[in-house]
Amino acid sequence: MDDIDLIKKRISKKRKSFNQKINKNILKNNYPWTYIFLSKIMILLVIFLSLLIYLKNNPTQKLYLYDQIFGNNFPFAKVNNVYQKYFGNILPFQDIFNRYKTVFEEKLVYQEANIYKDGVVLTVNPNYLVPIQENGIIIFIGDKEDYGKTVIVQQANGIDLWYGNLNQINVNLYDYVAKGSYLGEIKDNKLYLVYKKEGKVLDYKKYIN
Amino acid sequence: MIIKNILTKIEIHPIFLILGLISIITGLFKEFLILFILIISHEIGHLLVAYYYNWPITNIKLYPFGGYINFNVLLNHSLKEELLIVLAGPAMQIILYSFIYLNNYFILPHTFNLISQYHYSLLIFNLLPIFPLDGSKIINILYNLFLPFKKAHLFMIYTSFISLIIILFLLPLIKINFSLYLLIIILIYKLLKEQKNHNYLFNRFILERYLYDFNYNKTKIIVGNKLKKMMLNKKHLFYLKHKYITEKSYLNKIFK
Repeated sequence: MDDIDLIKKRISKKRKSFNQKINKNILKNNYPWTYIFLSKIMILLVIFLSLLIYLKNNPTQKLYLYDQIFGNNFPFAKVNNVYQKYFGNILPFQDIFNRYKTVFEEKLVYQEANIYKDGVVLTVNPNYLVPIQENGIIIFIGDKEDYGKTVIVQQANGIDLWYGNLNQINVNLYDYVAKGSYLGEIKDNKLYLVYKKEGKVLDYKKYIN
Repeated sequence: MIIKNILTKIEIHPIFLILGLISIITGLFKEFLILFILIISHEIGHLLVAYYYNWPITNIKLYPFGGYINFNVLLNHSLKEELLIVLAGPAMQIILYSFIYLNNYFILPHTFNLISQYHYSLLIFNLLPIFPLDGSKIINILYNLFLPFKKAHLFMIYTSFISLIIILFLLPLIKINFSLYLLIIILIYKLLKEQKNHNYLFNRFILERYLYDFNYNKTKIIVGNKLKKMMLNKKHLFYLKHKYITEKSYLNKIFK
C-alpha cells in the first residue's frame, strides 16, 4: 500500500509541475484582459482628444461636421437607387411575389397653392387622401411645429419632402414607399408640403404642377 | 442549458452578414428583419422535432435562403423521423404566418404585404428539389421507399440538376437580383460537392450496416453479390451459390 501511495504522490507532483509550465506559457503569449481593455480605452481617448483639438482650431470644419452629423440623414434612398441600378434587387426574394403593387393615385388634386412658412399650403377637399409623390424611404413620423403631424420622405433624387397636417398615417418609419401609393388622410382641408435638399429649402414651384 | 448549447453551434455564413450590411446601407432594415425572423422560425421548427427524437446537432449554418442543420446521426436513420423533421420547418413557418394573418390588425398593410411576400417566396424556395434545400430531402426519402440507397441518392442528385437548370432558364423573367444569383451559386457548389461524395456516402452506408445492428421488419432478397441493391429501410438476404446468406455474415466476409 505504501508503494502505491508513493507512486500516486509522485504522479500528482509531476502533473502539478506540468500544469504550471503550461500556465506560464499561456501568460507569456497572452496579455491579461485588463491590459487589453485599458489600452483600447487609451487609444480611443487619444483619437477623441486629438479630434477635439483639431476642431477647436478650425471653426469652419467644426460647423461643417456638426451639419453633416446632426443636420443630415444618411442618403438611404440614394444608395438604394444606385445599388438597384447596377445590382438589381437587394434581398434574394425581393419583389418576386409582390401582388399588391396597386397604384392609388398619381397626382395631387388641389384648388389653391400659397406660400406657407418654408413651403407651400395646398387647399384640398376635406379629408383628402394623400398620394406619395416620388419613390423613397420614410425617415420621420411625428409632430413638427406649425406643420402638425408630419411625415418626411427621403426621395431617391436627394430631396426630403415633408407632408404636414396629417390626421391618419398609413406607413411605418423606414418603410420604402412607391410613387402613387397611399400615405394618409388629411386633418382638415389644408396640406403643407416642404421641399428640402441638404438642409436648404427649395422652391416648390418646380415640383408642383 | 439546451438553448445555450444550440446558440453556440450557430454559424452565420459571410454572405448573410454582407447582405445585412448592404440592407442597412440601403435602408431595408424591416425587410432584412422579416427575412431573418422567418428563417429563424423555420429553423426552430426543425430543431423542436429533432429535439423530440433526440437527434444530436453538430452545427447550424445560416444562409440567406434558410438554415442548414448538420445532424450527428447514422446514415441508417429512420425515414419517418427524418421526414417529420424536414416537414416541421415549413410547418412552423406556416404556423407563424397564420398567427400573423389572424392578428393582422396590429400591423399596417404595407408591413403585412412584405411579410407575406417573403413568407411565400422562402416557403416555395425551400421546397424546391435542389440538394441542400428541404425539398430535396423529401424527394430523397420518397425515392428511398422504392429504390436502393445508391440509386435513390443518384436520382436525387439528377432531379436537383434538372430543377436547377429549369430555374436558371426561368431567372430572366425576374428583375435582376445579384443576391439571388449568389444563392444559386452556393446551391450549385453544394450540389457538386454532394455529387463528389456520392461513392463515399455509399461506402459509409455499408460500413454502418457492418458495424451496427439494425432492426427492420421487411426483408429483401438480392440475387448475386450486388451490394448496390441494398435498401435503407430493409434487411437483406443474399442468394449466392444456391445458398441464402444473411446480410451481416456476407458483410463480415467482405470486410475481413
